[in-house]
Amino acid sequence: MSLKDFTKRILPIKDKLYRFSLRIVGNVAEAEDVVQEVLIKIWSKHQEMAQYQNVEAWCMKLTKNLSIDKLRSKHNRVGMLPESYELTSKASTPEELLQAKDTVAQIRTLIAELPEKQQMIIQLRDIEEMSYQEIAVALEISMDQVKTNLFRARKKIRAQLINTESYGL
Amino acid sequence: MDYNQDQIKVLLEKYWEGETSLAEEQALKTFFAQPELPAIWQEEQAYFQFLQQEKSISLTKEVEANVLAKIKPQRRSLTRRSLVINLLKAAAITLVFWSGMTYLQQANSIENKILAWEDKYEPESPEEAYRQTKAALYLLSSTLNKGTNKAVKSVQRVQESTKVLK
Repeated sequence: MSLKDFTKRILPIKDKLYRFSLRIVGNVAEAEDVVQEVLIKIWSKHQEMAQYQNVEAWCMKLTKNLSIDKLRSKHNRVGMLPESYELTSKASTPEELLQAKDTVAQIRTLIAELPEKQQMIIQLRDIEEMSYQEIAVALEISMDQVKTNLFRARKKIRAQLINTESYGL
Repeated sequence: MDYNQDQIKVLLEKYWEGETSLAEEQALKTFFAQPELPAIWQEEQAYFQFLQQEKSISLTKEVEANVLAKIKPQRRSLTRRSLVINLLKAAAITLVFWSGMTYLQQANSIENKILAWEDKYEPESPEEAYRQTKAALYLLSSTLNKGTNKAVKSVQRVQESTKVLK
């Protein structure tokens, strides 16, 4: 893989890698470090890249492994996104913006309370829109495990969403 | 494909059961992105809008710039290294060619000397002819060895230089 291919094929997925790492390490600076490390590692193996059928899933696998290493070395909590983290919101008034931020924070907490594997599967399927096959490669588990964990994660999310009194959505 | 509210209800059930395809999940996201939906969809709408909004999270430009800055020098040094290796290869080929040419020139000059000597000299007996032939062959052999040794030494020198660079 040339530098041109790297710029064309790998750099465009950097945001996906970052969001995935952020879901695991829960810290902006550490997720940025992970992505930087992942991208440099990918480049160091650019001559072997042709043998990988699904480059994106392989990159996600690297991101997962490095994020988990970082998380274990720092003893961080899984999935806790920092409050300072900003999203682009469609809310037009300050009240709507406040409400939107509140809702986002509540749903984030809800996902952060899921087991680690289920959080990663929700991130890869419902946010990054990856196929079961790609998720299986990225997480190094079987497709059946992907489906089972996705079902369990969604079941818990649904139960929490219905409980509107607790979350006030 | 546009879905009506009844179809969305069915699709939602499939979604919570973990049985929807990516296309169906996209249809749900599109449906819940609408600004004004009945209150019964409030929780689902909040959730699907959250999923869409999470996709807007992006990495700072600095990280990409840092990565490219670390990658590009490596690439330049690799190019410089391969240039040096190619130059050494060319030098090795030239040396081998030069050694071969030197050997051929020496062999030709010995042949010419023998021919010149044949014109002037006539051995007087078979024993003398044998002695002279033996001496001539010995001279040819020693000259040939000198040329071969030179070529071997040149190739060894090039191999050593390549090893140092690696």
